[in-house]
Amino acid sequence: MPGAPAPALGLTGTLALLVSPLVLSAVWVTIWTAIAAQAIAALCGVPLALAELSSLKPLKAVAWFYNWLFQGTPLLMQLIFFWAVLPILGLRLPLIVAGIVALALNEAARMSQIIRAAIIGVDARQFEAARTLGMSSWQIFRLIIVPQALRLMLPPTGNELNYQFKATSLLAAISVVELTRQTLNFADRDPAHPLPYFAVAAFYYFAMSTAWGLVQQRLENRAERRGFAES
Amino acid sequence: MDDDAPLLRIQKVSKWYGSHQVLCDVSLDLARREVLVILGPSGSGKSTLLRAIAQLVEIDSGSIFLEGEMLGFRDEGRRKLPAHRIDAQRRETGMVFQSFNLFAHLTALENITLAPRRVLKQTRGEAEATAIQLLERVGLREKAGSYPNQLSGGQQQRVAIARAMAMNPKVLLFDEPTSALDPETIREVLDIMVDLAHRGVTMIVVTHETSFAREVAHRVAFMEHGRILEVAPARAFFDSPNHPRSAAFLGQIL
Repeated sequence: MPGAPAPALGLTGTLALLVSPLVLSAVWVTIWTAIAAQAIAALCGVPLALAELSSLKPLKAVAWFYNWLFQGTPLLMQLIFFWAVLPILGLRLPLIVAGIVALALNEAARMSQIIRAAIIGVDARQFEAARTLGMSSWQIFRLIIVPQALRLMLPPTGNELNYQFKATSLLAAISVVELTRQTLNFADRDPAHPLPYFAVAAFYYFAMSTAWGLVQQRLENRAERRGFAES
Repeated sequence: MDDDAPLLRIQKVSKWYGSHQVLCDVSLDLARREVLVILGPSGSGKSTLLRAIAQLVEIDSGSIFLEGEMLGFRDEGRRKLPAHRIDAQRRETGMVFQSFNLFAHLTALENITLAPRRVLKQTRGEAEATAIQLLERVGLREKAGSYPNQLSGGQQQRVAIARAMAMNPKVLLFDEPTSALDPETIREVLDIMVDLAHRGVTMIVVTHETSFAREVAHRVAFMEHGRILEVAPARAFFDSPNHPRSAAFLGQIL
Protein backbone atom coordinates (compact mmCIF):
# COMPACT_ATOMS: atom_id res chain seq x y z
CA MET A 1 0.00 0.00 0.00
CA PRO A 2 1.53 3.36 -1.06
CA GLY A 3 1.81 6.40 1.22
CA ALA A 4 3.51 7.16 4.50
CA PRO A 5 4.88 4.17 6.46
CA ALA A 6 2.62 2.92 9.22
CA PRO A 7 3.49 4.18 12.70
CA ALA A 8 5.36 1.84 15.05
CA LEU A 9 3.28 -0.43 17.26
CA GLY A 10 2.73 1.30 20.55
CA LEU A 11 2.45 -0.46 23.89
CA THR A 12 -1.19 -1.37 23.34
CA GLY A 13 -0.38 -2.51 19.81
CA THR A 14 2.41 -4.73 21.13
CA LEU A 15 0.19 -6.16 23.85
CA ALA A 16 -2.49 -6.85 21.26
CA LEU A 17 0.15 -8.61 19.14
CA LEU A 18 1.16 -10.71 22.16
CA VAL A 19 -2.28 -12.33 22.27
CA SER A 20 -3.14 -12.14 18.57
CA PRO A 21 -4.36 -15.43 17.06
CA LEU A 22 -1.52 -15.48 14.52
CA VAL A 23 1.13 -15.25 17.24
CA LEU A 24 -0.60 -17.69 19.56
CA SER A 25 -1.00 -20.27 16.84
CA ALA A 26 2.69 -19.83 15.88
CA VAL A 27 3.65 -20.35 19.53
CA TRP A 28 1.54 -23.47 19.61
CA VAL A 29 3.29 -24.83 16.48
CA THR A 30 6.65 -24.16 18.15
CA ILE A 31 5.60 -26.01 21.31
CA TRP A 32 4.12 -29.08 19.71
CA THR A 33 6.79 -29.53 17.05
CA ALA A 34 9.48 -29.28 19.75
CA ILE A 35 7.74 -31.85 21.94
CA ALA A 36 6.97 -34.17 19.02
CA ALA A 37 10.55 -34.01 17.74
CA GLN A 38 11.94 -34.62 21.23
CA ALA A 39 9.60 -37.56 21.84
CA ILE A 40 10.42 -39.21 18.53
CA ALA A 41 14.12 -38.59 19.18
CA ALA A 42 13.91 -40.26 22.59
CA LEU A 43 12.23 -43.31 21.04
CA CYS A 44 14.77 -43.52 18.20
CA GLY A 45 17.58 -43.00 20.72
CA VAL A 46 16.78 -46.26 22.52
CA PRO A 47 17.69 -48.72 19.73
CA LEU A 48 20.66 -46.52 18.82
CA ALA A 49 21.93 -46.58 22.41
CA LEU A 50 21.41 -50.35 22.67
CA ALA A 51 23.26 -50.79 19.37
CA GLU A 52 26.16 -48.73 20.71
CA LEU A 53 26.25 -50.82 23.88
CA SER A 54 25.91 -54.07 21.97
CA SER A 55 28.84 -56.39 21.61
CA LEU A 56 27.89 -57.04 17.98
CA LYS A 57 30.30 -55.12 15.76
CA PRO A 58 27.86 -54.49 12.86
CA LEU A 59 25.27 -52.96 15.23
CA LYS A 60 27.93 -50.78 16.83
CA ALA A 61 29.03 -49.66 13.36
CA VAL A 62 25.49 -48.70 12.32
CA ALA A 63 25.05 -46.59 15.47
CA TRP A 64 28.45 -45.01 14.99
CA PHE A 65 27.66 -44.14 11.38
CA TYR A 66 24.31 -42.64 12.33
CA ASN A 67 25.84 -40.38 14.95
CA TRP A 68 28.70 -39.45 12.65
CA LEU A 69 26.26 -38.49 9.93
CA PHE A 70 23.85 -36.45 12.02
CA GLN A 71 26.37 -34.81 14.29
CA GLY A 72 28.83 -34.04 11.51
CA THR A 73 26.50 -31.81 9.50
CA PRO A 74 24.53 -28.68 10.49
CA LEU A 75 20.92 -29.11 11.58
CA LEU A 76 19.89 -26.42 9.07
CA MET A 77 21.40 -28.43 6.22
CA GLN A 78 19.58 -31.54 7.40
CA LEU A 79 16.28 -29.64 7.47
CA ILE A 80 16.84 -28.42 3.93
CA PHE A 81 17.80 -31.92 2.86
CA PHE A 82 14.52 -33.38 4.13
CA TRP A 83 12.55 -30.48 2.66
CA ALA A 84 14.25 -30.08 -0.74
CA VAL A 85 16.16 -33.23 -1.56
CA LEU A 86 13.81 -35.99 -0.46
CA PRO A 87 11.06 -34.89 -2.91
CA ILE A 88 13.62 -35.10 -5.73
CA LEU A 89 14.37 -38.63 -4.59
CA GLY A 90 10.65 -39.34 -4.79
CA LEU A 91 9.68 -39.08 -1.12
CA ARG A 92 7.17 -36.29 -0.60
CA LEU A 93 6.53 -35.45 3.03
CA PRO A 94 4.19 -32.71 4.19
CA LEU A 95 6.25 -29.66 5.12
CA ILE A 96 5.74 -29.91 8.86
CA VAL A 97 6.42 -33.65 8.86
CA ALA A 98 9.69 -33.18 6.99
CA GLY A 99 10.64 -30.54 9.55
CA ILE A 100 9.81 -32.66 12.58
CA VAL A 101 11.53 -35.72 11.14
CA ALA A 102 14.71 -33.73 10.53
CA LEU A 103 14.67 -32.25 14.04
CA ALA A 104 13.96 -35.67 15.54
CA LEU A 105 16.61 -37.61 13.63
CA ASN A 106 19.19 -34.97 14.48
CA GLU A 107 18.19 -35.05 18.13
CA ALA A 108 18.15 -38.87 18.18
CA ALA A 109 21.93 -38.85 17.84
CA ARG A 110 22.26 -36.81 21.04
CA MET A 111 19.52 -38.80 22.82
CA SER A 112 21.35 -42.04 22.07
CA GLN A 113 24.40 -40.63 23.89
CA ILE A 114 22.24 -39.58 26.85
CA ILE A 115 20.49 -42.96 27.04
CA ARG A 116 23.76 -44.84 26.69
CA ALA A 117 25.37 -42.78 29.45
CA ALA A 118 22.34 -43.33 31.71
CA ILE A 119 22.40 -47.11 31.23
CA ILE A 120 26.13 -47.22 31.91
CA GLY A 121 25.58 -44.84 34.83
CA VAL A 122 23.43 -47.31 36.78
CA ASP A 123 25.69 -48.70 39.51
CA ALA A 124 26.88 -52.18 38.50
CA ARG A 125 26.33 -53.30 42.09
CA GLN A 126 22.57 -52.86 41.57
CA PHE A 127 22.88 -55.40 38.80
CA GLU A 128 24.85 -57.81 41.02
CA ALA A 129 22.34 -57.54 43.84
CA ALA A 130 19.54 -58.46 41.44
CA ARG A 131 21.63 -61.34 40.09
CA THR A 132 22.03 -62.88 43.54
CA LEU A 133 18.24 -62.83 43.91
CA GLY A 134 17.96 -65.05 40.83
CA MET A 135 16.52 -62.43 38.49
CA SER A 136 17.06 -63.01 34.78
CA SER A 137 19.02 -60.53 32.66
CA TRP A 138 15.82 -59.31 31.03
CA GLN A 139 14.10 -58.84 34.41
CA ILE A 140 17.12 -56.93 35.70
CA PHE A 141 17.13 -54.71 32.63
CA ARG A 142 13.41 -54.02 32.84
CA LEU A 143 12.95 -53.74 36.62
CA ILE A 144 16.26 -52.29 37.80
CA ILE A 145 18.28 -50.73 34.97
CA VAL A 146 15.49 -48.99 33.01
CA PRO A 147 13.77 -47.27 35.96
CA GLN A 148 17.09 -46.05 37.33
CA ALA A 149 18.40 -44.99 33.91
CA LEU A 150 15.20 -43.01 33.31
CA ARG A 151 15.90 -40.99 36.43
CA LEU A 152 19.50 -40.39 35.36
CA MET A 153 18.25 -39.31 31.93
CA LEU A 154 15.80 -36.77 33.29
CA PRO A 155 18.09 -33.73 33.66
CA PRO A 156 19.93 -34.01 30.32
CA THR A 157 16.74 -34.90 28.43
CA GLY A 158 14.96 -31.92 29.96
CA ASN A 159 17.79 -29.71 28.77
CA GLU A 160 17.45 -31.15 25.27
CA LEU A 161 13.73 -30.33 25.16
CA ASN A 162 14.56 -26.82 26.29
CA TYR A 163 17.06 -26.58 23.43
CA GLN A 164 14.44 -28.00 21.06
CA PHE A 165 12.04 -25.09 21.67
CA LYS A 166 14.71 -22.85 20.18
CA ALA A 167 15.88 -25.31 17.52
CA THR A 168 12.41 -25.25 15.97
CA SER A 169 13.20 -21.67 14.85
CA LEU A 170 15.24 -23.25 12.05
CA LEU A 171 11.94 -24.54 10.64
CA ALA A 172 11.47 -20.93 9.51
CA ALA A 173 14.00 -21.67 6.78
CA ILE A 174 11.66 -24.22 5.19
CA SER A 175 8.69 -21.87 5.77
CA VAL A 176 6.90 -23.75 8.51
CA VAL A 177 4.94 -21.01 10.25
CA GLU A 178 6.25 -21.34 13.75
CA LEU A 179 7.14 -18.43 16.00
CA THR A 180 10.27 -17.26 14.16
CA ARG A 181 8.70 -17.52 10.69
CA GLN A 182 5.64 -15.63 11.88
CA THR A 183 7.84 -12.93 13.39
CA LEU A 184 9.84 -12.59 10.17
CA ASN A 185 6.60 -12.36 8.21
CA PHE A 186 5.41 -9.50 10.43
CA ALA A 187 8.77 -7.76 10.20
CA ASP A 188 8.81 -8.06 6.41
CA ARG A 189 5.53 -6.21 6.23
CA ASP A 190 6.65 -3.49 8.64
CA PRO A 191 10.40 -3.20 7.92
CA ALA A 192 10.72 0.21 9.57
CA HIS A 193 9.68 -1.04 13.02
CA PRO A 194 10.70 -4.69 13.52
CA LEU A 195 11.46 -4.37 17.22
CA PRO A 196 8.00 -5.09 18.73
CA TYR A 197 7.66 -8.29 16.71
CA PHE A 198 11.03 -9.60 17.83
CA ALA A 199 10.29 -8.53 21.40
CA VAL A 200 7.09 -10.62 21.35
CA ALA A 201 8.98 -13.60 19.92
CA ALA A 202 11.69 -13.25 22.55
CA PHE A 203 9.04 -13.05 25.26
CA TYR A 204 7.53 -16.37 24.18
CA TYR A 205 10.88 -18.15 23.78
CA PHE A 206 11.88 -17.02 27.29
CA ALA A 207 8.45 -18.04 28.60
CA MET A 208 8.69 -21.56 27.13
CA SER A 209 12.21 -22.02 28.36
CA THR A 210 11.45 -20.73 31.85
CA ALA A 211 8.19 -22.61 32.23
CA TRP A 212 9.80 -25.89 31.18
CA GLY A 213 12.74 -25.17 33.48
CA LEU A 214 10.32 -24.97 36.41
CA VAL A 215 8.52 -28.18 35.41
CA GLN A 216 11.86 -29.95 35.04
CA GLN A 217 12.97 -28.77 38.47
CA ARG A 218 9.80 -30.20 40.00
CA LEU A 219 10.27 -33.52 38.24
CA GLU A 220 13.86 -33.74 39.42
CA ASN A 221 12.90 -32.88 43.00
CA ARG A 222 10.25 -35.55 42.91
CA ALA A 223 12.72 -38.16 41.62
CA GLU A 224 15.10 -37.17 44.40
CA ARG A 225 12.46 -37.64 47.08
CA ARG A 226 11.79 -41.06 45.65
CA GLY A 227 15.20 -42.40 46.37
CA PHE A 228 17.33 -40.51 43.90
CA ALA A 229 19.92 -38.18 45.25
CA GLU A 230 22.22 -36.56 42.71
CA SER A 231 25.53 -38.24 43.18
CA MET B 1 19.98 -86.62 49.75
CA ASP B 2 20.97 -87.73 53.24
CA ASP B 3 21.26 -85.15 55.97
CA ASP B 4 24.91 -85.83 56.73
CA ALA B 5 26.10 -84.90 53.24
CA PRO B 6 27.50 -81.41 53.15
CA LEU B 7 25.10 -78.70 52.02
CA LEU B 8 27.87 -76.97 50.12
CA ARG B 9 30.99 -78.64 48.79
CA ILE B 10 33.81 -76.60 47.30
CA GLN B 11 36.38 -78.71 45.49
CA LYS B 12 39.77 -77.46 44.33
CA VAL B 13 38.43 -74.17 43.07
CA SER B 14 40.80 -71.82 41.29
CA LYS B 15 40.25 -68.38 39.83
CA TRP B 16 42.61 -66.10 37.94
CA TYR B 17 42.30 -62.41 37.14
CA GLY B 18 44.66 -62.22 34.19
CA SER B 19 47.94 -63.67 35.42
CA HIS B 20 47.03 -63.16 39.09
CA GLN B 21 45.60 -66.19 40.81
CA VAL B 22 43.05 -65.08 43.41
CA LEU B 23 41.85 -68.54 44.43
CA CYS B 24 44.25 -71.48 44.57
CA ASP B 25 42.76 -74.95 44.84
CA VAL B 26 40.29 -73.95 47.53
CA SER B 27 38.36 -76.85 49.05
CA LEU B 28 35.80 -76.56 51.80
CA ASP B 29 32.65 -78.33 53.00
CA LEU B 30 29.79 -76.61 54.75
CA ALA B 31 27.21 -78.51 56.78
CA ARG B 32 23.54 -77.65 56.98
CA ARG B 33 22.87 -75.00 59.67
CA GLU B 34 26.56 -74.31 59.99
CA VAL B 35 27.96 -70.81 60.52
CA LEU B 36 31.42 -70.43 59.02
CA VAL B 37 33.45 -67.26 59.41
CA ILE B 38 36.26 -66.55 56.96
CA LEU B 39 39.07 -64.37 58.26
CA GLY B 40 42.10 -63.11 56.43
CA PRO B 41 43.89 -59.99 55.26
CA SER B 42 42.40 -57.96 52.43
CA GLY B 43 43.19 -59.34 49.01
CA SER B 44 43.31 -62.89 50.33
CA GLY B 45 40.45 -64.06 48.09
CA LYS B 46 37.67 -64.18 50.73
CA SER B 47 35.25 -62.05 48.76
CA THR B 48 36.06 -63.80 45.50
CA LEU B 49 35.25 -67.13 47.13
CA LEU B 50 31.80 -65.84 48.19
CA ARG B 51 31.26 -64.36 44.73
CA ALA B 52 32.17 -67.68 43.16
CA ILE B 53 29.58 -69.47 45.32
CA ALA B 54 26.98 -66.82 44.38
CA GLN B 55 28.03 -67.23 40.73
CA LEU B 56 28.89 -63.57 40.35
CA VAL B 57 32.29 -64.67 39.09
CA GLU B 58 32.99 -67.75 37.02
CA ILE B 59 35.60 -70.10 38.40
CA ASP B 60 38.39 -71.32 36.13
CA SER B 61 38.76 -74.81 37.57
CA GLY B 62 37.36 -76.99 40.31
CA SER B 63 33.69 -77.32 41.19
CA ILE B 64 31.13 -76.15 43.69
CA PHE B 65 28.17 -78.33 44.63
CA LEU B 66 25.05 -77.17 46.44
CA GLU B 67 23.06 -80.15 47.76
CA GLY B 68 25.00 -82.30 45.32
CA GLU B 69 24.16 -80.18 42.28
CA MET B 70 27.11 -78.67 40.43
CA LEU B 71 26.86 -74.90 40.20
CA GLY B 72 27.25 -73.21 36.82
CA PHE B 73 28.32 -76.21 34.80
CA ARG B 74 26.70 -79.28 33.34
CA ASP B 75 29.52 -81.63 34.21
CA GLU B 76 33.21 -81.88 34.92
CA GLY B 77 33.79 -81.19 31.22
CA ARG B 78 32.97 -77.56 32.10
CA ARG B 79 30.11 -77.17 29.66
CA LYS B 80 28.21 -74.17 31.02
CA LEU B 81 24.59 -74.44 32.09
CA PRO B 82 22.08 -72.32 30.15
CA ALA B 83 21.42 -68.88 31.64
CA HIS B 84 18.00 -69.74 33.06
CA ARG B 85 19.44 -72.70 34.97
CA ILE B 86 22.15 -70.51 36.45
CA ASP B 87 19.53 -67.89 37.41
CA ALA B 88 17.58 -70.65 39.16
CA GLN B 89 20.69 -71.77 41.04
CA ARG B 90 21.44 -68.21 42.14
CA ARG B 91 18.10 -68.09 44.00
CA GLU B 92 19.44 -70.71 46.39
CA THR B 93 22.42 -68.62 47.47
CA GLY B 94 21.64 -65.30 49.15
CA MET B 95 24.20 -62.54 49.37
CA VAL B 96 24.63 -59.52 51.64
CA PHE B 97 27.10 -56.96 50.35
CA GLN B 98 29.48 -54.59 52.08
CA SER B 99 27.80 -51.65 50.32
CA PHE B 100 24.22 -52.92 50.94
CA ASN B 101 23.23 -52.46 47.27
CA LEU B 102 19.55 -51.88 47.95
CA PHE B 103 17.64 -50.98 44.80
CA ALA B 104 17.74 -47.19 44.92
CA HIS B 105 14.40 -46.63 43.17
CA LEU B 106 12.39 -48.95 45.42
CA THR B 107 11.15 -48.64 49.01
CA ALA B 108 12.39 -51.00 51.71
CA LEU B 109 9.24 -53.09 51.28
CA GLU B 110 9.54 -53.18 47.48
CA ASN B 111 13.22 -54.12 47.75
CA ILE B 112 12.18 -57.19 49.72
CA THR B 113 9.12 -58.18 47.65
CA LEU B 114 10.58 -57.65 44.14
CA ALA B 115 12.35 -60.97 43.70
CA PRO B 116 9.74 -63.13 45.50
CA ARG B 117 7.09 -61.67 43.21
CA ARG B 118 9.03 -61.69 39.94
CA VAL B 119 11.22 -64.75 40.44
CA LEU B 120 9.19 -66.98 42.77
CA LYS B 121 5.90 -65.71 41.27
CA GLN B 122 4.36 -65.04 44.67
CA THR B 123 1.29 -62.84 44.75
CA ARG B 124 1.72 -59.31 45.99
CA GLY B 125 -0.18 -60.21 49.17
CA GLU B 126 1.99 -63.24 49.95
CA ALA B 127 5.21 -61.39 49.25
CA GLU B 128 4.21 -58.39 51.34
CA ALA B 129 3.09 -60.51 54.28
CA THR B 130 6.49 -62.23 54.34
CA ALA B 131 8.29 -58.93 53.84
CA ILE B 132 6.49 -57.29 56.76
CA GLN B 133 7.42 -60.24 58.98
CA LEU B 134 11.04 -59.97 57.92
CA LEU B 135 11.06 -56.19 58.45
CA GLU B 136 9.68 -56.80 61.92
CA ARG B 137 12.40 -59.32 62.60
CA VAL B 138 15.09 -56.78 61.67
CA GLY B 139 13.27 -54.10 63.67
CA LEU B 140 12.32 -51.88 60.74
CA ARG B 141 8.58 -52.44 60.38
CA GLU B 142 7.96 -48.68 60.42
CA LYS B 143 10.49 -48.08 57.61
CA ALA B 144 8.60 -50.19 55.04
CA GLY B 145 7.80 -47.15 52.90
CA SER B 146 11.23 -45.50 53.13
CA TYR B 147 13.63 -45.29 50.20
CA PRO B 148 17.23 -46.44 50.74
CA ASN B 149 18.59 -42.87 50.76
CA GLN B 150 16.26 -42.12 53.69
CA LEU B 151 17.78 -44.93 55.78
CA SER B 152 21.03 -45.05 57.75
CA GLY B 153 23.73 -47.50 56.70
CA GLY B 154 22.82 -49.93 59.45
CA GLN B 155 19.13 -49.77 58.51
CA GLN B 156 19.95 -50.33 54.83
CA GLN B 157 22.01 -53.37 55.70
CA ARG B 158 19.19 -54.78 57.83
CA VAL B 159 16.79 -54.34 54.92
CA ALA B 160 19.35 -56.01 52.64
CA ILE B 161 19.46 -59.00 54.99
CA ALA B 162 15.66 -59.17 54.95
CA ARG B 163 15.72 -58.97 51.14
CA ALA B 164 18.11 -61.91 50.92
CA MET B 165 16.09 -63.92 53.49
CA ALA B 166 12.85 -63.37 51.56
CA MET B 167 14.14 -65.75 48.88
CA ASN B 168 14.63 -68.39 51.57
CA PRO B 169 18.13 -69.28 50.33
CA LYS B 170 19.86 -72.51 51.30
CA VAL B 171 22.96 -70.58 52.28
CA LEU B 172 23.41 -66.90 53.08
CA LEU B 173 26.72 -65.27 52.17
CA PHE B 174 27.88 -62.12 53.97
CA ASP B 175 30.65 -60.13 52.32
CA GLU B 176 32.07 -57.83 55.03
CA PRO B 177 28.54 -56.74 56.00
CA THR B 178 29.66 -54.25 58.65
CA SER B 179 32.82 -52.82 57.08
CA ALA B 180 31.03 -49.79 55.61
CA LEU B 181 29.16 -48.98 58.82
CA ASP B 182 29.73 -46.46 61.59
CA PRO B 183 31.00 -48.18 64.75
CA GLU B 184 27.78 -47.43 66.62
CA THR B 185 25.58 -49.17 64.03
CA ILE B 186 27.74 -52.27 63.58
CA ARG B 187 26.11 -53.93 66.58
CA GLU B 188 22.55 -53.58 65.25
CA VAL B 189 23.56 -55.53 62.13
CA LEU B 190 25.57 -58.12 64.05
CA ASP B 191 22.59 -58.69 66.36
CA ILE B 192 20.42 -59.58 63.36
CA MET B 193 23.09 -61.97 62.11
CA VAL B 194 23.40 -63.62 65.53
CA ASP B 195 19.62 -64.06 65.56
CA LEU B 196 19.73 -65.71 62.11
CA ALA B 197 22.52 -68.01 63.26
CA HIS B 198 20.47 -69.10 66.28
CA ARG B 199 17.54 -69.80 63.96
CA GLY B 200 19.71 -72.28 62.08
CA VAL B 201 20.36 -70.30 58.92
CA THR B 202 23.41 -71.68 57.10
CA MET B 203 25.88 -68.83 56.71
CA ILE B 204 29.32 -68.02 55.42
CA VAL B 205 30.50 -64.71 56.80
CA VAL B 206 33.54 -62.77 55.63
CA THR B 207 34.20 -60.28 58.40
CA HIS B 208 36.78 -58.69 60.62
CA GLU B 209 34.39 -58.82 63.58
CA THR B 210 36.05 -61.47 65.73
CA SER B 211 33.44 -60.93 68.43
CA PHE B 212 30.82 -62.24 66.03
CA ALA B 213 33.05 -65.17 65.11
CA ARG B 214 33.58 -66.09 68.76
CA GLU B 215 29.89 -65.68 69.55
CA VAL B 216 28.23 -67.77 66.83
CA ALA B 217 30.71 -69.30 64.37
CA HIS B 218 30.96 -73.05 64.42
CA ARG B 219 34.17 -72.99 62.45
CA VAL B 220 36.62 -70.35 61.30
CA ALA B 221 38.60 -70.50 58.08
CA PHE B 222 41.73 -68.43 57.61
CA MET B 223 42.65 -67.37 54.07
CA GLU B 224 45.74 -65.74 52.64
CA HIS B 225 46.97 -65.35 49.06
CA GLY B 226 44.00 -67.25 47.68
CA ARG B 227 44.49 -70.30 49.88
CA ILE B 228 42.69 -71.60 52.92
CA LEU B 229 45.53 -72.07 55.38
CA GLU B 230 43.50 -73.31 58.33
CA VAL B 231 39.96 -74.38 59.13
CA ALA B 232 39.20 -75.04 62.78
CA PRO B 233 36.36 -74.96 65.29
CA ALA B 234 35.97 -71.34 66.38
CA ARG B 235 37.09 -71.78 69.95
CA ALA B 236 40.16 -73.80 68.99
CA PHE B 237 41.03 -71.28 66.28
CA PHE B 238 41.01 -68.30 68.60
CA ASP B 239 42.62 -70.10 71.55
CA SER B 240 45.43 -71.80 69.68
CA PRO B 241 45.63 -71.23 65.94
CA ASN B 242 47.60 -73.94 64.21
CA HIS B 243 49.06 -72.11 61.28
CA PRO B 244 51.74 -69.50 62.04
CA ARG B 245 50.10 -67.10 59.55
CA SER B 246 46.72 -67.27 61.33
CA ALA B 247 48.44 -66.75 64.66
CA ALA B 248 50.23 -63.69 63.27
CA PHE B 249 46.97 -62.35 61.80
CA LEU B 250 45.12 -62.80 65.09
CA GLY B 251 47.97 -61.07 66.85
CA GLN B 252 47.48 -58.07 64.59
CA ILE B 253 43.72 -57.68 64.82
CA LEU B 254 43.03 -58.63 68.45
